[in-house]
Amino acid sequence: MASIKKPTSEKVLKSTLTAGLSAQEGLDLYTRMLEIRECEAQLNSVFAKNLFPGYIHSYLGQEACAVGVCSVLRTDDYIVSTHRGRGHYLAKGMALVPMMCEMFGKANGICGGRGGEMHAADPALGILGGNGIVGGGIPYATGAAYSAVLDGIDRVCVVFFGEGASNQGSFHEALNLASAWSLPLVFVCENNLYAEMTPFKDSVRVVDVSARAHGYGIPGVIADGTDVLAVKEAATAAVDRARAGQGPTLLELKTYRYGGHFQGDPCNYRTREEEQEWQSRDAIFRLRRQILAQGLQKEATLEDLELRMAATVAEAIQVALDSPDPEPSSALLNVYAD
Amino acid sequence: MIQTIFIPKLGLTMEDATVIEWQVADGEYVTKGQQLLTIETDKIMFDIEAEAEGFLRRVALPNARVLVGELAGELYPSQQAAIEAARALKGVISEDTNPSSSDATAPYPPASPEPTSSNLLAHPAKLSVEGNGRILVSPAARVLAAESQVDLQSIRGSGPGGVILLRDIQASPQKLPPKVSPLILNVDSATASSRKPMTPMRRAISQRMMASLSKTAQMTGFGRIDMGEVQVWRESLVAQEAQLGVRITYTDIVLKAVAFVLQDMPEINAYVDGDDIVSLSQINLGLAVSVEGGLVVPVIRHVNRLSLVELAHKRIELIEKARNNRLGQEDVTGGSFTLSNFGSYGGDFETPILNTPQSALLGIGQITLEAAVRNGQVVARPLMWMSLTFDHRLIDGAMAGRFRARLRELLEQPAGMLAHLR
Amino acid sequence: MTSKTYCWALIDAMREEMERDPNVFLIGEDVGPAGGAFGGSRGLLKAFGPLRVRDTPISEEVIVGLGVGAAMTGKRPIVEVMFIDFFGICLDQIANQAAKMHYLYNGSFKMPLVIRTMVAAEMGIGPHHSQSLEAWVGHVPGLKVVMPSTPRDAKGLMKSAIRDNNPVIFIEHLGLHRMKEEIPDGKEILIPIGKADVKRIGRDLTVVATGLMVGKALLAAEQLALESIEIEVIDPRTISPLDIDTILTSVRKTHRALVVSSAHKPFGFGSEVSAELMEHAFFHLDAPVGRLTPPFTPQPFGKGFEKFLHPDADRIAAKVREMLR
Repeated sequence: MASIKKPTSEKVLKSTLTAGLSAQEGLDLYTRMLEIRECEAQLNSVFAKNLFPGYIHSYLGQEACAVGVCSVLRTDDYIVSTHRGRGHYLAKGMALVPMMCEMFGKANGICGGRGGEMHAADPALGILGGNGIVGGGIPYATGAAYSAVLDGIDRVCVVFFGEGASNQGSFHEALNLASAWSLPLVFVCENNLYAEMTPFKDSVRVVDVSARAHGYGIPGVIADGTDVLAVKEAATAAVDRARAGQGPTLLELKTYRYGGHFQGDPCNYRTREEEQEWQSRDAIFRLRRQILAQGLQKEATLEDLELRMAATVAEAIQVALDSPDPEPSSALLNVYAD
Repeated sequence: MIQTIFIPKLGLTMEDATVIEWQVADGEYVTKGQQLLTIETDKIMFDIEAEAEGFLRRVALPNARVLVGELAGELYPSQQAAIEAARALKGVISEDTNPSSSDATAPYPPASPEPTSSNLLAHPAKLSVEGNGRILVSPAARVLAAESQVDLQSIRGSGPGGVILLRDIQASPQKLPPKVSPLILNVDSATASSRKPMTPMRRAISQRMMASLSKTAQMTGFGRIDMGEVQVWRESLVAQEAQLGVRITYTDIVLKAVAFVLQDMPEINAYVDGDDIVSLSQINLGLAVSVEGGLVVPVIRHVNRLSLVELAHKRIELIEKARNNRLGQEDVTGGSFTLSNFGSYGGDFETPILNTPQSALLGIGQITLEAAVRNGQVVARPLMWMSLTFDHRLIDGAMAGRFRARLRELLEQPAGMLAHLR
Repeated sequence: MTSKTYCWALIDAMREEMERDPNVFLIGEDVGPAGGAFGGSRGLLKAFGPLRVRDTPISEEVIVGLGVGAAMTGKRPIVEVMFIDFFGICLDQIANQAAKMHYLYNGSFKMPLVIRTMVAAEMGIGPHHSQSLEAWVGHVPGLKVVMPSTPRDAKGLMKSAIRDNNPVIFIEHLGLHRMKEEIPDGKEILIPIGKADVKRIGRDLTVVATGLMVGKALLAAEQLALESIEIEVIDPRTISPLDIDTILTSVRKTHRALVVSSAHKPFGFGSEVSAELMEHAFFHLDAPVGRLTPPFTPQPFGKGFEKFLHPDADRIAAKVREMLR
């Protein structure tokens, strides 16, 4: 990969699902994660060059979570995202250029430049937006799930949130209702150990978010967020449960964000050792290694893919930079629907 | 040192002038060259400007006749001094500071710009400063006073804290009716046993009537209308007065019928301007209303778009305003056709004078039960004369006849009107 | 025409709309078998089944949230927040989520959500059940807020709210639930949102009243009529968007205005009307715009307190007389 440095030491961890990984599936998962990785890394440099409007909440390091979960979803399934949503949007199939333009607040962004980094949506792909309020999406994810119940079809909704949101009242209200009503809603908690700048362990008495599931009578599952195949396996089980009408699952993915809460956060609440420890388990490198080890793809194919992806993302960023800003008076439109 | 402002000699033969109005209030600061007050001689209007800067104390009174060289006002070096001097002046002069209306030397309407509600903000100096504060006056009262050229300084307010309210302006003897009032004249015979000058309203009526007759080619055509069906209809509407919230009158029904006819005959809803014919896009009907001292013609707009109920409300509102002398500019302008109900004073048919620049005017008489022939039999029918005066420059006899025929059709079979209702 | 109470008129409205459109559904606390804590949804469960009329846990944030998500995904939910005093619990879903979805995503989502709630001022339920908080939601762009005062208005506005593609906060008053009125039987009789109603034509002063205060203003009008004072009573019916034109037309005629409200004076509905009149009818005003509200205190429990604090017909009439001096 052009933009990312290889971890200094790579832990070789056993993946839970080595058998049955097809070449195509491996390539798809790799491509999706690579796209997110390139976006995040390149956006960070754009930010460093002072060309990005506003904050960046980087998804760097968590790619396997979004990709692992979204790879088991249908187009008509819904996802509800957070303030750190680019990974989710891309994993669910949002087009790169309109998404990038939206990040830069441009007129041809997928929301006309109105949402920016924290708010992008595409109803046709079931992407129901991000949120500036921590935990703000969790209550309304229940409604998206309930629509499927009313329609009598096996559509599901996945709501992403961080472990910080799992302390909001909204989380508990939603978890309770979804459990009581057996809604087809999968709660995916990306536990990256830090809510904004406060460690999880200082905010909560239990070690795992998934322990809370027990109090609502639903399964709480932990998966390694640095192993895309493990994520995929756990997500498959949870989504299948939901489709079968058995109700929600609380799926906790242990992961890590390489950057701070936002770009520019000096991260003096973490140690460099901890950061390096996690980077040594980087999900993308692990999948790459596994694909090559299993002979599923040639190295040259992957290198070529990496170069092309870097170029595609760079081009998308350039298009966004060159795109026009929204007409200021368009701020007056669409306050109300007809 | 105190600067004097005096009435200048503007012409060799000038001996006196009339004060029209001050542009600056007592105690206000003026700069050199600033306009202070307007006076009028028998030849011209003239604005007196300040020849130095200072704080004003006014001496000459509006509408007063002043002699050349007379003291009009003074400029003081301090506001305090100016205000105290002004106050002292008020104490000296008696209450009767306003000349009687028969002494009116001010031309009607006066030519200088009045403070309207929109330019009051641009000229806050129009507010009088009295004592150490302003005159308390409500915004609505201030606007009405400006429109009626009532001097706020002469009004005592009856509201809380001495605020001048609408009712104080309305009750003021100074209050004049709206300046532009297109009027219809009904000529009475008069005996010449005394002489007095015309009131401004009478003068205006006099001039307009002459102008109307001399500048147009008007004639009047007559017709009779059987109002039997309308009577039945109206009775049922009166029976529903509670639900409708208003009492529908014959005037309302005729106004509505006229609006229908005008929609079909836009050539009548037009006027002559030089060699051009100007068509009007709105159907705004004037209604002649008798008031004390004359007549006014308030205008109901868009009669074609109003329901009978709305029309009746509007009519009531305007008549009330007219009788209370509260019509504003917007109430008396914009008419495209006028209706005059002679029936209200027992008239039958007349030759009303056009309300120029309109090209037609309909007069209706009283409804009387008379003998008529129907199907070869003599029966008693409620009949009403219509008198349509029209400008023959624009409207020929045949067209006028079609108007009368169409109106008769609608009123004799009012179901036809319902068929056209939108 | 049939005589209906305000409460039944609302139930009729919901039933008719749920019959007309299968996407309409109702959730809230006690709406199902209990038929509503105050009887506000009687008969609906039986008519439409447990998926479309469903009891929720006591979780206002997710009650509203569920409505938001369902509205984004093709449904037309009615969600009940029993008392408007509870808006503090769910204001994020109302103001940050529901109000902004259509705008933020540039029209990608519609939000045809009705949040049905209640003001219970003067009903003797105490400080957490007596506030009139329409100002909280009137202040948020993207929301519509309605407050009917009669059975006919309630039914017509509820139907309009359900058919509206925007989030509508529907504020009823518990004290009006038993009010009866003859209302027309048709199912397509809607009252438009954003249109005020002149409840009584007058001449001397315009009273703008909302909710429970409308009836009191009309009583005051009858008292005053005996003294030859004719007040015009306007019920805005919709708080936001406010039909200021109807009020302006009235004040241009009467030259005086008084706003009577159950809400507090500071930052309240009366302030909004007063500011609009100042801006657009300044030169027609013969007196300052008055506001008659309870004093700025919480609402303690007890009839004696309530009677002391809240305006009634006598006090409205007295205020009118004072303003006409």
